[in-house]
Amino acid sequence: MTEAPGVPDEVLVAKVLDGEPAAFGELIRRHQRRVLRIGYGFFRNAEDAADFAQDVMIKAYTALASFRGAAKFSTWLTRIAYNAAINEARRKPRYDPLEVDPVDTRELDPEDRHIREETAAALRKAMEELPQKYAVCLDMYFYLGMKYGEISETTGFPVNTIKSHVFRAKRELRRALGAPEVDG
Amino acid sequence: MKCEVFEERYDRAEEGAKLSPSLALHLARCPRCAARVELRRRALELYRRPGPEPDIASRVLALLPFLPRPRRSVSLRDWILTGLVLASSVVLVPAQKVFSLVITEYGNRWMLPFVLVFGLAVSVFGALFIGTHMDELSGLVGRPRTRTVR
Repeated sequence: MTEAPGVPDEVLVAKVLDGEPAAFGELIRRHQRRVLRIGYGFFRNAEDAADFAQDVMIKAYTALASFRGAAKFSTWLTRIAYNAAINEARRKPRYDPLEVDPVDTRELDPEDRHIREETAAALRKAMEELPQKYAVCLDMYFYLGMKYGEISETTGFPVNTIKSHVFRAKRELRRALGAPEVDG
Repeated sequence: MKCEVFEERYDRAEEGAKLSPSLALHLARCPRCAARVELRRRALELYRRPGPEPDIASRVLALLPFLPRPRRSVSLRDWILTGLVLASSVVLVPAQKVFSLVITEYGNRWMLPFVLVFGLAVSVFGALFIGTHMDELSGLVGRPRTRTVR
């Protein structure tokens, strides 16, 4: 059974713990994008990213009773994914999600495609200029739309460090996008 | 406010956060900055556009029957509170007047069941605590721990 989209994550977690494992399906559908993105970033291969996402979801399911609701479920899950990825990619923890960006830009009109490509190129450049371990912070901010505090909670990096890296990336993005034409 | 100052301050603000009055005022008055802000919003919207995703939910749901069911557990805080109540009762009960009356009435022979009952309670508490925190305790002994959000 598919759960209503408006049901809070915490309620779905309680349902799973009360013996309704199907509610976990809705939690996966809501949050798999984040986990897949982290998988793309660390493993740079769509198949490995899907396997990674499956493993993370199973880890989250078996550890679900330890979710106390102090953080958002999405933060808790992202943290499990980040820690798992760091452990699995320990030998070569390079983060580069853009190599396997699964978006088909042919669906976009030429202008939108150009803007998207400029954005991706600017963020790639910003990521390359960072110490590798911080690249994931830019992706969490710009692609996943996570807040500074949530990124810090997930990665353990200080908020101010994240802010300064994001600030530099924004400047890069501003340069790449240039000045739009203004009417009047 | 100059446009350069606005850009610098705007870039320092969190995406989607409420702007300070001075930034909001500049944004309302300056078509150039407004256009830049709008372009960035559009760029990020395009950048975040989701692509096709594999159906992870079906894959995981098919495996759930073979996994141990997650069960509600007692939080560490509740464990500590229970332990404190137990410890304080061991200390406080003998200090109660009723305890002295029982000793006067039945003599020191009553001490043995008292000690046995509290000993049993402490042992059960300890065994349950260790049994339900094996992962954390083994991590403390040697295995490197990963951080988890609770």
